Amino acid sequence: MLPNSIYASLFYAAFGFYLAALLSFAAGWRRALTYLLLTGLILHTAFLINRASFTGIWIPVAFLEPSFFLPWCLAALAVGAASFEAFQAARSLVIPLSAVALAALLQPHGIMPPSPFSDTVFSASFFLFDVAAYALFIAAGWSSLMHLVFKNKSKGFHSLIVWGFVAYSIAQITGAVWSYLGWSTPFHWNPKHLQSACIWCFYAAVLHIRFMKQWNMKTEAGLSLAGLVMIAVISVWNAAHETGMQRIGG
Amino acid sequence: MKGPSPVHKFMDLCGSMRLNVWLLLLASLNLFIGAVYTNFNFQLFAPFSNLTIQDWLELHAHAYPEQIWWIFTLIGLFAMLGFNTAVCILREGSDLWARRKQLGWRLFSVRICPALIHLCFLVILTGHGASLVTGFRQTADIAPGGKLSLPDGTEVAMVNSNTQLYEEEALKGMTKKSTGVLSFRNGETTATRRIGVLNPVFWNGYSIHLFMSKRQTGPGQNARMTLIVKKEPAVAVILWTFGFMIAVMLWYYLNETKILRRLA
Repeated sequence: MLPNSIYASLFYAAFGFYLAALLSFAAGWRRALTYLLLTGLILHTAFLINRASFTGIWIPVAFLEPSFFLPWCLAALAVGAASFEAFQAARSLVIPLSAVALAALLQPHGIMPPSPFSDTVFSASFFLFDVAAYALFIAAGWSSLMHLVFKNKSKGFHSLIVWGFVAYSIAQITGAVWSYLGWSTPFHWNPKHLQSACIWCFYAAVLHIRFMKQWNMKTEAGLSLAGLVMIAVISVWNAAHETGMQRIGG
Repeated sequence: MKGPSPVHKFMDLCGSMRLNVWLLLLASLNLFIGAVYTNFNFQLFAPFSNLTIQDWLELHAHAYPEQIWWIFTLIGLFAMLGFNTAVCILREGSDLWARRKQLGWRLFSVRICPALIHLCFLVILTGHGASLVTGFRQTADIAPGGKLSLPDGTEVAMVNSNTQLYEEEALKGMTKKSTGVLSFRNGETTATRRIGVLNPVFWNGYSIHLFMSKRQTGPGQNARMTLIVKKEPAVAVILWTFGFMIAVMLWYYLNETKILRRLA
Protein backbone atom coordinates (compact mmCIF):
# COMPACT_ATOMS: atom_id res chain seq x y z
CA MET A 1 0.00 0.00 0.00
CA LEU A 2 1.38 3.41 -1.02
CA PRO A 3 0.61 6.85 0.43
CA ASN A 4 -2.08 8.52 -1.64
CA SER A 5 0.30 11.21 -2.94
CA ILE A 6 2.43 8.47 -4.55
CA TYR A 7 -0.26 6.06 -5.73
CA ALA A 8 -1.76 8.75 -7.99
CA SER A 9 1.49 8.81 -9.96
CA LEU A 10 0.84 5.17 -10.94
CA PHE A 11 -2.08 6.38 -13.03
CA TYR A 12 0.07 9.06 -14.69
CA ALA A 13 2.57 6.32 -15.57
CA ALA A 14 -0.22 4.07 -16.92
CA PHE A 15 -1.51 6.99 -19.00
CA GLY A 16 2.00 7.50 -20.37
CA PHE A 17 2.10 3.89 -21.57
CA TYR A 18 -1.36 4.21 -23.14
CA LEU A 19 -0.11 7.28 -25.05
CA ALA A 20 2.99 5.38 -26.15
CA ALA A 21 0.68 2.56 -27.32
CA LEU A 22 -1.30 5.12 -29.30
CA LEU A 23 1.90 6.31 -30.98
CA SER A 24 2.97 2.75 -31.79
CA PHE A 25 -0.52 2.14 -33.27
CA ALA A 26 -0.05 5.21 -35.48
CA ALA A 27 3.41 3.95 -36.49
CA GLY A 28 2.09 0.44 -37.15
CA TRP A 29 4.33 -1.28 -34.55
CA ARG A 30 1.96 -4.12 -33.64
CA ARG A 31 4.15 -6.02 -31.22
CA ALA A 32 5.16 -2.91 -29.27
CA LEU A 33 1.49 -1.91 -29.05
CA THR A 34 0.57 -5.09 -27.16
CA TYR A 35 3.45 -4.81 -24.67
CA LEU A 36 2.88 -1.09 -24.05
CA LEU A 37 -0.82 -1.66 -23.44
CA LEU A 38 -0.09 -4.57 -21.11
CA THR A 39 2.42 -2.52 -19.08
CA GLY A 40 -0.09 0.34 -18.86
CA LEU A 41 -2.78 -2.10 -17.70
CA ILE A 42 -0.50 -3.54 -14.97
CA LEU A 43 0.33 -0.03 -13.64
CA HIS A 44 -3.34 0.91 -13.86
CA THR A 45 -4.29 -2.20 -11.83
CA ALA A 46 -1.68 -1.29 -9.18
CA PHE A 47 -3.18 2.22 -9.05
CA LEU A 48 -6.71 0.85 -8.54
CA ILE A 49 -5.57 -1.59 -5.84
CA ASN A 50 -3.83 1.22 -3.96
CA ARG A 51 -6.79 3.52 -4.47
CA ALA A 52 -9.11 0.95 -2.90
CA SER A 53 -6.84 0.25 0.08
CA PHE A 54 -4.88 3.42 0.99
CA THR A 55 -7.30 4.28 3.82
CA GLY A 56 -6.30 1.10 5.66
CA ILE A 57 -9.41 -0.89 4.72
CA TRP A 58 -10.39 -2.44 1.39
CA ILE A 59 -13.14 -0.38 -0.29
CA PRO A 60 -14.32 -2.26 -3.42
CA VAL A 61 -16.32 0.68 -4.75
CA ALA A 62 -13.14 2.79 -4.83
CA PHE A 63 -11.61 0.15 -7.18
CA LEU A 64 -14.72 0.13 -9.36
CA GLU A 65 -15.52 3.86 -9.51
CA PRO A 66 -16.41 4.62 -13.16
CA SER A 67 -13.93 7.45 -13.84
CA PHE A 68 -10.90 5.18 -13.35
CA PHE A 69 -12.39 1.70 -13.82
CA LEU A 70 -13.84 2.53 -17.27
CA PRO A 71 -10.39 3.14 -18.85
CA TRP A 72 -9.17 -0.05 -17.09
CA CYS A 73 -11.97 -2.08 -18.74
CA LEU A 74 -11.20 -0.51 -22.12
CA ALA A 75 -7.49 -1.25 -21.65
CA ALA A 76 -8.30 -4.88 -20.80
CA LEU A 77 -10.45 -5.12 -23.96
CA ALA A 78 -7.69 -3.50 -26.03
CA VAL A 79 -5.05 -5.91 -24.64
CA GLY A 80 -7.37 -8.83 -25.42
CA ALA A 81 -7.97 -7.52 -28.94
CA ALA A 82 -4.29 -6.86 -29.60
CA SER A 83 -3.24 -10.31 -28.33
CA PHE A 84 -5.39 -12.34 -30.72
CA GLU A 85 -4.80 -12.37 -34.44
CA ALA A 86 -8.55 -12.67 -35.10
CA PHE A 87 -9.25 -9.31 -33.47
CA GLN A 88 -6.40 -7.34 -35.01
CA ALA A 89 -8.89 -4.88 -36.50
CA ALA A 90 -9.84 -3.88 -32.96
CA ARG A 91 -6.33 -2.59 -32.19
CA SER A 92 -7.62 0.93 -32.85
CA LEU A 93 -9.46 0.66 -29.49
CA VAL A 94 -6.32 2.32 -28.14
CA ILE A 95 -7.77 5.63 -29.47
CA PRO A 96 -10.96 5.72 -27.33
CA LEU A 97 -8.91 4.24 -24.45
CA SER A 98 -6.50 7.20 -24.57
CA ALA A 99 -9.42 9.66 -24.70
CA VAL A 100 -11.19 8.06 -21.70
CA ALA A 101 -7.90 7.85 -19.73
CA LEU A 102 -7.26 11.54 -20.46
CA ALA A 103 -10.76 12.37 -19.15
CA ALA A 104 -9.97 10.35 -15.98
CA LEU A 105 -6.76 12.33 -15.56
CA LEU A 106 -8.84 15.50 -15.28
CA GLN A 107 -10.99 13.97 -12.50
CA PRO A 108 -10.11 14.19 -8.78
CA HIS A 109 -8.17 11.02 -7.88
CA GLY A 110 -9.51 10.85 -4.30
CA ILE A 111 -12.18 8.32 -3.35
CA MET A 112 -15.81 8.75 -2.38
CA PRO A 113 -16.05 8.23 1.39
CA PRO A 114 -17.38 4.78 2.30
CA SER A 115 -20.81 4.66 3.91
CA PRO A 116 -23.02 1.94 5.41
CA PHE A 117 -25.03 2.16 2.17
CA SER A 118 -22.12 0.98 0.03
CA ASP A 119 -21.15 -1.91 2.32
CA THR A 120 -22.78 -4.68 0.28
CA VAL A 121 -21.88 -7.08 -2.50
CA PHE A 122 -24.72 -5.57 -4.55
CA SER A 123 -23.07 -2.14 -4.81
CA ALA A 124 -19.76 -3.68 -5.95
CA SER A 125 -21.58 -5.95 -8.45
CA PHE A 126 -23.55 -3.00 -9.74
CA PHE A 127 -20.42 -0.93 -10.46
CA LEU A 128 -18.55 -3.90 -11.90
CA PHE A 129 -21.23 -4.79 -14.46
CA ASP A 130 -22.32 -1.20 -15.11
CA VAL A 131 -18.82 -0.01 -16.02
CA ALA A 132 -18.02 -3.21 -17.94
CA ALA A 133 -21.19 -2.64 -19.99
CA TYR A 134 -20.18 0.97 -20.69
CA ALA A 135 -16.79 -0.25 -21.92
CA LEU A 136 -18.44 -2.82 -24.22
CA PHE A 137 -20.87 -0.20 -25.58
CA ILE A 138 -17.98 2.21 -26.22
CA ALA A 139 -16.03 -0.55 -27.98
CA ALA A 140 -19.16 -1.39 -30.03
CA GLY A 141 -19.66 2.27 -30.98
CA TRP A 142 -16.01 2.61 -31.95
CA SER A 143 -16.10 -0.60 -33.96
CA SER A 144 -19.23 0.60 -35.81
CA LEU A 145 -17.50 3.90 -36.57
CA MET A 146 -14.68 1.89 -38.17
CA HIS A 147 -17.32 -0.09 -40.08
CA LEU A 148 -19.03 3.07 -41.38
CA VAL A 149 -16.06 5.34 -42.06
CA PHE A 150 -13.28 2.96 -43.09
CA LYS A 151 -15.59 0.28 -44.56
CA ASN A 152 -14.14 -2.22 -42.13
CA LYS A 153 -15.91 -5.54 -42.82
CA SER A 154 -15.87 -6.63 -39.18
CA LYS A 155 -19.35 -7.22 -37.73
CA GLY A 156 -17.93 -7.60 -34.23
CA PHE A 157 -19.90 -4.65 -32.87
CA HIS A 158 -23.08 -6.76 -32.72
CA SER A 159 -21.47 -9.22 -30.26
CA LEU A 160 -20.11 -6.31 -28.22
CA ILE A 161 -23.64 -4.84 -28.02
CA VAL A 162 -25.11 -8.23 -27.05
CA TRP A 163 -22.66 -8.79 -24.17
CA GLY A 164 -22.80 -5.12 -23.19
CA PHE A 165 -26.57 -5.45 -22.94
CA VAL A 166 -26.33 -8.63 -20.85
CA ALA A 167 -23.80 -6.97 -18.49
CA TYR A 168 -25.96 -3.86 -18.32
CA SER A 169 -29.04 -5.93 -17.45
CA ILE A 170 -27.10 -7.66 -14.65
CA ALA A 171 -26.07 -4.18 -13.41
CA GLN A 172 -29.72 -3.14 -13.42
CA ILE A 173 -30.89 -6.09 -11.29
CA THR A 174 -28.02 -5.82 -8.79
CA GLY A 175 -28.56 -2.05 -8.65
CA ALA A 176 -32.30 -2.55 -8.11
CA VAL A 177 -31.71 -4.99 -5.23
CA TRP A 178 -29.14 -2.59 -3.69
CA SER A 179 -31.57 0.33 -4.04
CA TYR A 180 -34.43 -1.72 -2.54
CA LEU A 181 -32.44 -2.89 0.48
CA GLY A 182 -31.00 0.55 1.19
CA TRP A 183 -33.65 3.01 0.07
CA SER A 184 -36.80 0.83 0.03
CA THR A 185 -37.52 1.05 -3.70
CA PRO A 186 -35.86 -0.57 -6.72
CA PHE A 187 -36.46 2.48 -8.88
CA HIS A 188 -36.05 6.14 -7.98
CA TRP A 189 -37.31 9.03 -10.07
CA ASN A 190 -33.85 10.61 -10.19
CA PRO A 191 -31.45 11.38 -13.07
CA LYS A 192 -29.22 8.34 -12.46
CA HIS A 193 -32.03 5.75 -12.59
CA LEU A 194 -33.74 7.45 -15.53
CA GLN A 195 -30.43 7.55 -17.46
CA SER A 196 -29.99 3.81 -16.81
CA ALA A 197 -33.48 3.03 -18.07
CA CYS A 198 -32.80 5.29 -21.10
CA ILE A 199 -29.62 3.35 -22.00
CA TRP A 200 -31.32 -0.03 -21.44
CA CYS A 201 -34.27 0.84 -23.73
CA PHE A 202 -31.93 2.25 -26.38
CA TYR A 203 -29.79 -0.90 -26.61
CA ALA A 204 -32.90 -3.11 -26.43
CA ALA A 205 -34.05 -1.25 -29.57
CA VAL A 206 -30.64 -1.76 -31.22
CA LEU A 207 -30.83 -5.52 -30.55
CA HIS A 208 -34.34 -5.69 -32.05
CA ILE A 209 -33.32 -3.88 -35.26
CA ARG A 210 -31.81 -7.14 -36.56
CA PHE A 211 -35.26 -8.77 -36.65
CA MET A 212 -36.81 -6.05 -38.82
CA LYS A 213 -37.43 -6.81 -42.48
CA GLN A 214 -35.73 -3.55 -43.47
CA TRP A 215 -32.63 -4.35 -41.38
CA ASN A 216 -29.17 -3.74 -42.74
CA MET A 217 -25.72 -3.60 -41.15
CA LYS A 218 -25.39 0.12 -41.83
CA THR A 219 -28.51 0.99 -39.79
CA GLU A 220 -27.32 -1.11 -36.86
CA ALA A 221 -23.84 0.45 -37.03
CA GLY A 222 -25.40 3.94 -37.17
CA LEU A 223 -27.48 3.27 -34.06
CA SER A 224 -24.49 1.77 -32.27
CA LEU A 225 -22.56 4.97 -33.05
CA ALA A 226 -25.48 7.05 -31.71
CA GLY A 227 -25.25 4.91 -28.57
CA LEU A 228 -21.57 5.86 -28.24
CA VAL A 229 -22.54 9.55 -28.35
CA MET A 230 -25.27 8.96 -25.75
CA ILE A 231 -22.85 7.10 -23.44
CA ALA A 232 -20.32 9.95 -23.79
CA VAL A 233 -22.94 12.61 -22.96
CA ILE A 234 -24.23 10.68 -19.93
CA SER A 235 -20.67 9.95 -18.68
CA VAL A 236 -19.68 13.63 -18.89
CA TRP A 237 -22.95 14.59 -17.17
CA ASN A 238 -22.31 12.16 -14.30
CA ALA A 239 -18.64 13.11 -14.00
CA ALA A 240 -19.60 16.81 -13.76
CA HIS A 241 -22.15 15.93 -11.07
CA GLU A 242 -19.59 13.94 -9.06
CA THR A 243 -16.82 16.55 -9.30
CA GLY A 244 -18.34 18.64 -6.51
CA MET A 245 -18.71 15.70 -4.10
CA GLN A 246 -16.64 15.23 -0.95
CA ARG A 247 -13.58 13.02 -1.52
CA ILE A 248 -10.79 11.52 0.55
CA GLY A 249 -7.23 11.75 -0.69
CA GLY A 250 -7.42 14.55 -3.26
CA MET B 1 -58.88 -14.75 -53.17
CA LYS B 2 -59.64 -13.62 -49.64
CA GLY B 3 -56.97 -11.41 -47.95
CA PRO B 4 -56.20 -11.22 -44.23
CA SER B 5 -59.06 -10.02 -42.03
CA PRO B 6 -59.02 -6.48 -40.53
CA VAL B 7 -58.43 -8.03 -37.06
CA HIS B 8 -55.46 -9.92 -38.45
CA LYS B 9 -54.07 -6.76 -40.06
CA PHE B 10 -54.55 -4.82 -36.81
CA MET B 11 -52.73 -7.51 -34.81
CA ASP B 12 -49.91 -7.53 -37.38
CA LEU B 13 -49.53 -3.79 -36.95
CA CYS B 14 -49.69 -3.93 -33.14
CA GLY B 15 -47.18 -6.74 -32.91
CA SER B 16 -44.80 -5.50 -35.58
CA MET B 17 -41.07 -5.34 -34.93
CA ARG B 18 -40.89 -1.91 -36.56
CA LEU B 19 -43.38 -0.53 -34.00
CA ASN B 20 -41.44 -2.22 -31.20
CA VAL B 21 -38.15 -0.57 -32.22
CA TRP B 22 -39.76 2.87 -32.55
CA LEU B 23 -41.50 2.56 -29.18
CA LEU B 24 -38.22 1.56 -27.48
CA LEU B 25 -36.34 4.46 -29.10
CA LEU B 26 -39.07 6.93 -28.14
CA ALA B 27 -39.15 5.56 -24.58
CA SER B 28 -35.38 5.98 -24.43
CA LEU B 29 -35.65 9.60 -25.59
CA ASN B 30 -38.51 10.23 -23.14
CA LEU B 31 -36.42 8.81 -20.27
CA PHE B 32 -33.51 11.05 -21.23
CA ILE B 33 -35.81 14.09 -21.16
CA GLY B 34 -37.06 12.89 -17.75
CA ALA B 35 -33.48 12.65 -16.49
CA VAL B 36 -32.92 16.29 -17.51
CA TYR B 37 -36.11 17.45 -15.75
CA THR B 38 -35.34 15.53 -12.54
CA ASN B 39 -31.77 16.85 -12.58
CA PHE B 40 -32.98 20.45 -12.42
CA ASN B 41 -36.03 19.91 -10.19
CA PHE B 42 -34.81 17.47 -7.57
CA GLN B 43 -37.12 18.82 -4.82
CA LEU B 44 -40.20 18.20 -6.95
CA PHE B 45 -39.38 14.65 -8.05
CA ALA B 46 -37.63 13.26 -4.93
CA PRO B 47 -40.88 12.52 -3.01
CA PHE B 48 -42.29 10.62 -6.03
CA SER B 49 -40.17 7.56 -5.24
CA ASN B 50 -41.94 7.17 -1.90
CA LEU B 51 -45.50 8.02 -2.90
CA THR B 52 -48.14 6.64 -5.26
CA ILE B 53 -48.55 8.76 -8.39
CA GLN B 54 -51.99 10.00 -7.28
CA ASP B 55 -50.66 11.10 -3.87
CA TRP B 56 -47.60 12.73 -5.42
CA LEU B 57 -49.74 14.64 -7.91
CA GLU B 58 -52.11 15.79 -5.18
CA LEU B 59 -49.42 16.77 -2.66
CA HIS B 60 -46.58 18.07 -4.81
CA ALA B 61 -46.90 18.08 -8.56
CA HIS B 62 -50.39 19.10 -9.74
CA ALA B 63 -49.35 22.75 -10.02
CA TYR B 64 -46.42 22.04 -12.34
CA PRO B 65 -47.80 20.45 -15.55
CA GLU B 66 -44.92 21.93 -17.57
CA GLN B 67 -42.44 19.98 -15.40
CA ILE B 68 -44.21 16.61 -15.28
CA TRP B 69 -45.74 16.10 -18.75
CA TRP B 70 -43.01 13.61 -19.69
CA ILE B 71 -44.20 11.14 -17.00
CA PHE B 72 -47.55 10.80 -18.78
CA THR B 73 -46.02 10.38 -22.23
CA LEU B 74 -43.70 7.77 -20.70
CA ILE B 75 -46.64 5.86 -19.19
CA GLY B 76 -48.38 6.02 -22.58
CA LEU B 77 -45.31 4.71 -24.42
CA PHE B 78 -44.81 1.86 -21.96
CA ALA B 79 -48.51 0.95 -22.17
CA MET B 80 -48.19 0.69 -25.98
CA LEU B 81 -44.91 -1.22 -25.61
CA GLY B 82 -46.64 -3.62 -23.22
CA PHE B 83 -49.43 -4.27 -25.74
CA ASN B 84 -46.92 -4.69 -28.58
CA THR B 85 -44.92 -7.15 -26.44
CA ALA B 86 -48.06 -9.12 -25.46
CA VAL B 87 -49.03 -9.56 -29.13
CA CYS B 88 -45.45 -10.65 -29.95
CA ILE B 89 -45.48 -13.24 -27.16
CA LEU B 90 -48.78 -14.70 -28.32
CA ARG B 91 -47.69 -14.98 -31.96
CA GLU B 92 -44.11 -16.10 -31.38
CA GLY B 93 -44.96 -18.41 -28.46
CA SER B 94 -47.92 -20.18 -30.07
CA ASP B 95 -46.01 -20.74 -33.30
CA LEU B 96 -43.01 -22.26 -31.49
CA TRP B 97 -45.18 -24.33 -29.15
CA ALA B 98 -46.86 -25.94 -32.17
CA ARG B 99 -43.43 -26.86 -33.60
CA ARG B 100 -41.79 -27.99 -30.34
CA LYS B 101 -41.60 -31.71 -31.25
CA GLN B 102 -40.22 -30.97 -34.67
CA LEU B 103 -37.53 -28.67 -33.23
CA GLY B 104 -36.35 -30.98 -30.46
CA TRP B 105 -35.88 -29.96 -26.83
CA ARG B 106 -32.51 -28.20 -27.15
CA LEU B 107 -33.40 -26.05 -30.14
CA PHE B 108 -36.87 -25.35 -28.72
CA SER B 109 -35.37 -24.27 -25.37
CA VAL B 110 -33.24 -21.68 -27.20
CA ARG B 111 -35.85 -20.51 -29.71
CA ILE B 112 -38.46 -19.99 -26.99
CA CYS B 113 -36.11 -17.65 -25.06
CA PRO B 114 -37.10 -14.39 -26.83
CA ALA B 115 -40.78 -15.09 -26.02
CA LEU B 116 -39.84 -15.81 -22.38
CA ILE B 117 -37.70 -12.63 -22.18
CA HIS B 118 -40.63 -10.64 -23.59
CA LEU B 119 -42.98 -12.26 -21.06
CA CYS B 120 -40.63 -11.29 -18.22
CA PHE B 121 -40.43 -7.74 -19.57
CA LEU B 122 -44.23 -7.58 -19.61
CA VAL B 123 -44.42 -8.82 -16.00
CA ILE B 124 -41.78 -6.22 -14.94
CA LEU B 125 -43.67 -3.43 -16.71
CA THR B 126 -46.94 -4.50 -15.06
CA GLY B 127 -45.18 -4.66 -11.68
CA HIS B 128 -43.85 -1.12 -12.08
CA GLY B 129 -47.31 0.01 -13.16
CA ALA B 130 -48.87 -1.58 -10.07
CA SER B 131 -46.22 -0.01 -7.79
CA LEU B 132 -46.99 3.37 -9.29
CA VAL B 133 -50.60 3.35 -8.10
CA THR B 134 -50.82 0.95 -5.16
CA GLY B 135 -48.99 0.03 -1.96
CA PHE B 136 -48.40 1.53 1.45
CA ARG B 137 -45.53 3.92 2.21
CA GLN B 138 -44.70 5.72 5.42
CA THR B 139 -41.63 7.57 6.67
CA ALA B 140 -41.05 8.03 10.39
CA ASP B 141 -38.24 9.84 12.15
CA ILE B 142 -38.05 8.22 15.59
CA ALA B 143 -35.77 8.03 18.61
CA PRO B 144 -35.35 4.95 20.83
CA GLY B 145 -38.56 4.53 22.79
CA GLY B 146 -40.54 6.03 19.90
CA LYS B 147 -43.42 4.08 18.32
CA LEU B 148 -45.31 3.86 15.07
CA SER B 149 -48.39 1.91 13.99
CA LEU B 150 -48.86 -0.14 10.86
CA PRO B 151 -52.26 -0.29 9.08
CA ASP B 152 -52.71 -3.96 10.17
CA GLY B 153 -52.68 -2.83 13.82
CA THR B 154 -49.07 -3.82 14.57
CA GLU B 155 -47.29 -1.48 16.94
CA VAL B 156 -43.60 -1.04 16.14
CA ALA B 157 -41.27 0.42 18.76
CA MET B 158 -37.61 1.29 18.43
CA VAL B 159 -35.89 -0.36 21.40
CA ASN B 160 -32.43 1.05 20.77
CA SER B 161 -30.11 2.28 18.05
CA ASN B 162 -26.37 2.08 17.63
CA THR B 163 -23.92 3.93 15.40
CA GLN B 164 -20.39 2.68 14.82
CA LEU B 165 -17.72 4.96 13.37
CA TYR B 166 -14.51 4.17 11.46
CA GLU B 167 -11.35 4.26 13.53
CA GLU B 168 -8.85 4.40 10.65
CA GLU B 169 -7.05 7.76 10.47
CA ALA B 170 -8.23 8.64 6.94
CA LEU B 171 -11.86 7.82 7.74
CA LYS B 172 -12.12 9.03 11.33
CA GLY B 173 -15.58 10.28 12.29
CA MET B 174 -17.38 8.64 9.34
CA THR B 175 -20.28 6.28 9.94
CA LYS B 176 -19.35 2.63 9.47
CA LYS B 177 -22.50 0.89 10.61
CA SER B 178 -25.93 1.95 11.73
CA THR B 179 -28.19 -0.57 13.47
CA GLY B 180 -31.17 -0.71 15.76
CA VAL B 181 -33.56 -3.09 17.47
CA LEU B 182 -37.30 -3.00 16.76
CA SER B 183 -40.05 -4.68 18.74
CA PHE B 184 -43.37 -5.68 17.15
CA ARG B 185 -46.69 -6.21 18.94
CA ASN B 186 -49.92 -7.27 17.30
CA GLY B 187 -52.47 -8.69 19.79
CA GLU B 188 -50.84 -11.70 21.39
CA THR B 189 -47.95 -11.81 18.91
CA THR B 190 -44.73 -10.10 19.90
CA ALA B 191 -41.27 -10.22 18.32
CA THR B 192 -37.96 -8.41 18.39
CA ARG B 193 -35.86 -7.90 15.25
CA ARG B 194 -32.51 -6.31 14.51
CA ILE B 195 -32.55 -3.72 11.72
CA GLY B 196 -29.63 -2.09 9.91
CA VAL B 197 -28.82 0.02 6.89
CA LEU B 198 -29.18 -2.36 3.89
CA ASN B 199 -30.65 -4.91 6.29
CA PRO B 200 -34.42 -4.32 6.34
CA VAL B 201 -36.92 -6.15 8.52
CA PHE B 202 -39.85 -7.99 6.89
CA TRP B 203 -43.07 -8.24 8.87
CA ASN B 204 -46.53 -9.38 7.66
CA GLY B 205 -45.87 -8.24 4.10
CA TYR B 206 -44.33 -4.93 5.22
CA SER B 207 -40.68 -4.10 4.77
CA ILE B 208 -39.05 -1.68 7.19
CA HIS B 209 -35.85 0.02 6.05
CA LEU B 210 -33.43 1.93 8.24
CA PHE B 211 -32.33 5.20 6.78
CA MET B 212 -29.80 7.21 8.79
CA SER B 213 -31.18 10.49 9.94
CA LYS B 214 -29.17 13.59 9.08
CA ARG B 215 -29.42 14.66 12.70
CA GLN B 216 -27.33 11.67 13.68
CA THR B 217 -23.81 13.07 13.84
CA GLY B 218 -21.96 11.21 16.58
CA PRO B 219 -21.11 7.67 17.61
CA GLY B 220 -22.72 5.49 20.23
CA GLN B 221 -26.17 4.56 21.40
CA ASN B 222 -29.68 5.87 20.98
CA ALA B 223 -29.46 8.27 18.06
CA ARG B 224 -32.65 9.27 16.18
CA MET B 225 -33.18 7.35 12.97
CA THR B 226 -35.47 7.48 9.97
CA LEU B 227 -37.52 4.39 9.18
CA ILE B 228 -39.23 3.81 5.84
CA VAL B 229 -42.17 1.39 6.03
CA LYS B 230 -43.42 -0.08 2.77
CA LYS B 231 -45.87 -2.64 1.50
CA GLU B 232 -45.33 -3.15 -2.20
CA PRO B 233 -45.96 -6.76 -3.23
CA ALA B 234 -44.97 -5.96 -6.82
CA VAL B 235 -41.34 -5.30 -5.84
CA ALA B 236 -40.60 -8.98 -5.16
CA VAL B 237 -42.24 -9.95 -8.47
CA ILE B 238 -40.18 -7.32 -10.35
CA LEU B 239 -36.86 -8.40 -8.81
CA TRP B 240 -37.34 -12.18 -9.19
CA THR B 241 -38.66 -11.82 -12.74
CA PHE B 242 -35.74 -9.58 -13.70
CA GLY B 243 -33.32 -12.18 -12.31
CA PHE B 244 -35.06 -14.96 -14.27
CA MET B 245 -35.02 -12.81 -17.41
CA ILE B 246 -31.24 -12.42 -17.19
CA ALA B 247 -30.80 -16.18 -16.74
CA VAL B 248 -32.91 -16.79 -19.89
CA MET B 249 -30.96 -14.07 -21.74
CA LEU B 250 -27.67 -15.78 -20.86
CA TRP B 251 -28.98 -19.20 -21.99
CA TYR B 252 -30.17 -17.66 -25.26
CA TYR B 253 -27.02 -15.74 -26.19
CA LEU B 254 -24.65 -18.51 -25.09
CA ASN B 255 -26.48 -21.02 -27.30
CA GLU B 256 -27.61 -18.82 -30.19
CA THR B 257 -24.19 -18.62 -31.83
CA LYS B 258 -23.51 -22.35 -31.45
CA ILE B 259 -26.88 -23.34 -32.93
CA LEU B 260 -26.67 -20.86 -35.81
CA ARG B 261 -23.18 -22.18 -36.61
CA ARG B 262 -24.44 -25.79 -36.56
CA LEU B 263 -27.43 -24.98 -38.77
CA ALA B 264 -25.16 -23.14 -41.22
